[in-house]
Amino acid sequence: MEGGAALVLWIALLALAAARLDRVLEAPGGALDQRLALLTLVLALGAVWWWSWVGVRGGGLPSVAGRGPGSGILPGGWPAFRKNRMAVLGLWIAGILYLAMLLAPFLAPFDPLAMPAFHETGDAGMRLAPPSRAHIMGTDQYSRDVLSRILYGARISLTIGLLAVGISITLGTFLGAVAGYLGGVVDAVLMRLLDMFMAFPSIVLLLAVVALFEPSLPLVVAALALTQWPFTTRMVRGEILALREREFAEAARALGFSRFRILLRHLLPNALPAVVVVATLGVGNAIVLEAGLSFLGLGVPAATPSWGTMVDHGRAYLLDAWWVVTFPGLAIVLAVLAFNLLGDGLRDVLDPRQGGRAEP
Amino acid sequence: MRLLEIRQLRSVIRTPDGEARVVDGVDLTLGRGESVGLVGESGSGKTALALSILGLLPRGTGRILPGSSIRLRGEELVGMGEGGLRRIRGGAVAMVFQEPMTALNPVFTVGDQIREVLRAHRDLNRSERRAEVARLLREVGIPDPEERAGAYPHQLSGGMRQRAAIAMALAGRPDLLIADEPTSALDVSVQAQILDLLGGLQARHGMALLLISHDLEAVARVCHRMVVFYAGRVMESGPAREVLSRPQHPYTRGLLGSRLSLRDRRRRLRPIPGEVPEPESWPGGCRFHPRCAEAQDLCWRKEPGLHGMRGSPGGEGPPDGAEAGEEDSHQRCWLARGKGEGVP
Repeated sequence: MEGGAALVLWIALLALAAARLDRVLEAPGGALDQRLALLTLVLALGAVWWWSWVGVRGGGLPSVAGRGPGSGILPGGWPAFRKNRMAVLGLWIAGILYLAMLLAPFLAPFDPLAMPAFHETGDAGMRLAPPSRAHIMGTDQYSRDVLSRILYGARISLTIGLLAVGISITLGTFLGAVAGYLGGVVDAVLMRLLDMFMAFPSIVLLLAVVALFEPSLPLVVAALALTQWPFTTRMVRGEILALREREFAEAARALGFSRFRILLRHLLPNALPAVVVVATLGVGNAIVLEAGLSFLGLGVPAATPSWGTMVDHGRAYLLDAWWVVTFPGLAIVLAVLAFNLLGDGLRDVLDPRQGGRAEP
Repeated sequence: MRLLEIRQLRSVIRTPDGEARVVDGVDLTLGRGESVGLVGESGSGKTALALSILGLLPRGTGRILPGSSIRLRGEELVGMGEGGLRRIRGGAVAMVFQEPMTALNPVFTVGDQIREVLRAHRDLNRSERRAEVARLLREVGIPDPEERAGAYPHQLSGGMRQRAAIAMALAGRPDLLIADEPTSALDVSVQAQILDLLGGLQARHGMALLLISHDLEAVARVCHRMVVFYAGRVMESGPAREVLSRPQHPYTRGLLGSRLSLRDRRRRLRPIPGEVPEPESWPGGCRFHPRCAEAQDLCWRKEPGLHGMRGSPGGEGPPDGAEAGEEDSHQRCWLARGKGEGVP
């Protein structure tokens, strides 16, 4: 059932991408945004393909038929996740946002950058036009369609969020694992470095880094990753420290596996659930931080539609034209809420220490 | 050449209170295909001895003191590099741990974990490995081995998990299997099964077995020889049945007296008073004297050496390949020595 639906979705996505690749890649953020769009398309295809493969193979996520649900990494398994309504809601919202971002060129009724001149619309009526049938969420002070800008803005916010978290998680997991497993001097040096980073409030560090350079998308991603990696590192280090004292780590040594192999095969996979939770919650956090940066005018270049920038530009008209600020604001809330719900739900399912893991 | 020859092994573990001599001058030999049981209370150093053999004392805090010697097939293990030890661990010497739940990696199937050992220690191709996993699981008595290979540890019962852990240990075709309290964490009904499995595997493969336990009867059920361990030292050793039926050392008698027995319900339980002393402060003289009911002046003034009793009656013949003399009984007690020497 599920597998079939996923397969259809995958074929549809692929067909769409093949037929209108030019429009998918039509990106207001320039060459980099275009590459991001391509990347997200590939990732989405991969994810849906995996989903369908799992679905077709039968019975949800990996489990041994007839012997209770759940793999080792997902103790409660897919059914336990599905029971958590809030988490499922989060997954849906995040999924829809993701699709919206991917399909922005098809969904957006107007060009997000187009500023129709007075002579095109006949009068100044299109400036700050309230929500109407043509402009569901109204227009801003340059007569640009708010809905279109929000849809394109989702690209910026989500890709920045996902990329920043991807980088910080990769870096953090690697460093945390090394520090936790090797211990000693390596651990001490890394942890002191980390303390230095954590001593600064994220937003101050972020502002300092961003203010030094020309605002650009990669800069924002890098700066966000820079402020986030210490948290992942700390967490992974703690997990590895606890895991390496477990008997299976000793058993692995007694079986003659190398230290590297024990770390990679035996310890890291056991730390993965915690990493997944932190990553999911981190995406929400990164979206807020990015919006904050853009609000302060230090985010992506001004013309790029970004939720934070939209709130910033619209706040001057808050009393006359509430829609310019409210809709992007709601978009931010919705996206962050989705990732937080998803993260909390995943924690409930993945983390046995929080209870809920039934002994078979 | 014996399979394993331990001479004057002394291992220390650094603790906040100083260096603890957890193993203190132990001699132990194992012939090929011989099974030896190591018994003693918790804290007597049994596990530290096993970990010393594999070079697995806690990194940073544990070490083997110079002058110790552990020879496996004539090859010295003390001071051997990590690379060489890695080849031996899981290969020539494998270990089974106490807690089958925590000794298996929770995120991989048991089949995956056995395959990993095969990949590390044996040169097999994909399909051979697959067949070998099933064969090993069947050998340890797991029904439906092909299907169970795909099960995660939490989907198996305690006994099945321990069987899977034994299969992992067997995967490297060890000459010596060390089993550290392999039944202590299991249901009583399963304990005997696992013991018999270990005994059977030992006999079938001609593999040497070092069974660590606090249960003398369990050891006597499976092992040829029994070594009683206390405070980092060997207190008594000899043919398992003989030690069980005619214990020479008061400590061994104390261990036997603390057992619950159904057969002899009226017998009063006589536990050994006190606890195993902390390894940082082993008592002077005989290490057991503070807890020994029969202790005399001599016992706290001077520590007795291990004293052999050659050709003790009632002992079973040595297993194939074991040299005579190794079967002799030894004990470390002034009193037993007096008695032992009185009886020809």
